[in-house]
Amino acid sequence: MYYKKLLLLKVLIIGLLTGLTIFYFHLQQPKTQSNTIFTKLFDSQNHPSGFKFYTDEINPKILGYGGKFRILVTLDSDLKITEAQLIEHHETAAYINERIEKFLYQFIGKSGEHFKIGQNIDAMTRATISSKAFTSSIEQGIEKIRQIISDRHYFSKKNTKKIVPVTNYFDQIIPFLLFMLAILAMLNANQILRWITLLTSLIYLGIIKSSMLSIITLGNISLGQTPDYNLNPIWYILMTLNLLTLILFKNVYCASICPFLAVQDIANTIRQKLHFSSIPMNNKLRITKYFVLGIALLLFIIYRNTDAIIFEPYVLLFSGNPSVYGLILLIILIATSFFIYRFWCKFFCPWGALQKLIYKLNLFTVPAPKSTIEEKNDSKKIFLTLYIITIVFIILTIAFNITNLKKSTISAHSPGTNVLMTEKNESDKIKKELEAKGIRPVSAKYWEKL
Amino acid sequence: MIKCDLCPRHCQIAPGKRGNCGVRINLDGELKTLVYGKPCAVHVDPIEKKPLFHFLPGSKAFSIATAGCNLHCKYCQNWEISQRLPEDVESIDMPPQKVVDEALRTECKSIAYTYSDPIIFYEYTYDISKLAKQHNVRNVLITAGWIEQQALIDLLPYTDAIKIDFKGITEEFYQKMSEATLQPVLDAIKTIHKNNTWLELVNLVVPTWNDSDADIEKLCSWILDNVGPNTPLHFSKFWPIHKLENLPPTPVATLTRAWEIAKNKGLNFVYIGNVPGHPGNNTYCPQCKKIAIKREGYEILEYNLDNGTCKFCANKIPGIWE
Repeated sequence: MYYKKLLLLKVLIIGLLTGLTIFYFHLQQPKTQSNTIFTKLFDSQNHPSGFKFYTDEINPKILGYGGKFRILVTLDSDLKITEAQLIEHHETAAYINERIEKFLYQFIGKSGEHFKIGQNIDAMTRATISSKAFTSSIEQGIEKIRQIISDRHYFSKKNTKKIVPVTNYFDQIIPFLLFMLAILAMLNANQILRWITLLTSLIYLGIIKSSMLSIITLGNISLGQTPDYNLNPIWYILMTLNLLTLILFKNVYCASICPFLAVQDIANTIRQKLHFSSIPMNNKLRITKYFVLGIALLLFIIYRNTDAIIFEPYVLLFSGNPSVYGLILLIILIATSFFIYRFWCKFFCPWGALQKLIYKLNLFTVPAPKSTIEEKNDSKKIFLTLYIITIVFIILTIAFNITNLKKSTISAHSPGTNVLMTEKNESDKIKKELEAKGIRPVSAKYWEKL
Repeated sequence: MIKCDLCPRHCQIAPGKRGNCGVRINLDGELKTLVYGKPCAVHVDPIEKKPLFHFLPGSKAFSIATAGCNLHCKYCQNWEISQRLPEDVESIDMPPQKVVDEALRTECKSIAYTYSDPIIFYEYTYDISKLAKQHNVRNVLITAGWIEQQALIDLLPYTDAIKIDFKGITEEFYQKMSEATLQPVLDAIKTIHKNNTWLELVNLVVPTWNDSDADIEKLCSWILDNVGPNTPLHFSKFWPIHKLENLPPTPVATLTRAWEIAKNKGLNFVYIGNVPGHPGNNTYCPQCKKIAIKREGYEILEYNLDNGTCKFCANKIPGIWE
């Protein structure tokens, strides 16, 4: 009876969480487009001189790697691009910052052609998804304006040139295959299959795609920033399959897929081959990872910025630009994994902690008797030392992130960005207020931009 | 951020914000004026009221002003429009063409940009001036002259006469009384004189502020040295108002003394404003000393000029008479 009640409770909780999540995502939908999706520009003699638009206003559905972004595009009257400026984004700041100016510069002077990354547009290094998203939104924006100003019948679909980003089939199949392989491996306790999965994940998810599950993912979801499916299907497939397996099967991700797991298990195998003995662990300290999870989430709530919580080794290794402290932390974790089996996973991994919590909702587990892991009476001093050093460097890494937060937010935008952001929101409000009082702003003379 | 270069304050204006004058705003990355075509004061005044005594005497001036000002003088007579934001005054729609049409309709020989300060409604002034010139209507600026050189130079071709408030002769006075500076006003006066645009100066004499003999003498010396004895100088009586309600009005004796100092220094055309009956109302011929124009307040009682020459001694009297 107890078992059935527990099952029912689990189903209810899963149902409730699913419902809330769907509701949450529904709320995050972009608001209805305002009528002014682009602005006409006039010169000092009041002749039409071009147009300007914000990519997220003209194409609210195109999202970057990290979600919403905004590029201000200025066109002359022939719809040739005269200026393109990145105003806001949620991409990986480290990759975008240095490359965005050069990237956007490619668009200047271009008009009407189809932009193709790899052909007439070079992508930003290690930011392919961002590059594709930016390109697509600029191109579609111009196309929309062209249709509006040239077509008499705005709603006629005859001349519509729809540019839809091509879905990458490869990226959809491989993550799916990974999970299937991992499940098979677990069902058959097949070590070879497990290694194939691990290595494929290390190379594909880790090195090639830099796409894995971490608390950064949690952060993004809570900010409502989910990527466009067409541009980043891996994200969705990983999330969905992970949740499904956790609730219906086992913690497949942590056991066979996580790319850092591959690193740790390789290290462990090397240790075994070289006949080193492992360092005895203090298993009571496994609870630390729940604290890591809690504190990381707390920090995220305070700073509302995923850059603050970059400290997980798989993030640092595969998709971060680790600071000095992050690098040392990474080295410590890799080094210790040679001597302590799954040091990170067992004691510090916040994602693993979350997985374990969600696993409690699994519909098929039989409550197991409390396991008595026999604690050896050996000295745990070495372990404690390593444990404390790791904690210190996690703290240092996070602290460094936080102090750099303000700096990186500013440098993530193009110069003059904050000006334009406030301007866009505020100037419309101001213009409306003035208009209500019968005041019409007219171009003035004798001024300069600073 | 935008830097406005119209007047020496050179306000650095953040997006959505306005300059110190309250009527120039940073919107959409551009500086815009909020008072173009929206005057809040429109009157027909005698030209003598400006005061301009050597410019089309007896004629009417179509006077307009918008809200705002780039100075904040404690004694401002028009503070109710000059120290206000455009949305806080009642204004009417009057595009430049309409201003010119109205001036013609009311038989005004000139359009006076006055009350507040034409500098802050520069674009409006400029466009009206250009249009007025085409219709043979003259343009008169009544201003504090606290303007950047370039803007002034660009407006001069369409300006027929300027009256500048030569408020004081020290930086300290300008700072304390008006939150401005002296030097740009001196430069403006010199530029106008160099350009041969008709210029008259007014000094409002404020008790305890700039009414000492030393102040008057220094002022007159500067005028003599830089624009010569033929630039008319008006001494005006101060009335307690706005932020100086605690001061007494300027005694007539003070004004008379200023008048005499100026004449003794060699200035040919010195006037006392708003004191009816005072001999300082009249224009005297510098050569024969007879009354060339006799005035009572803003009214002309005697006009003894013939095409700008003294009827008595044929001396040419500077000014724009036709």
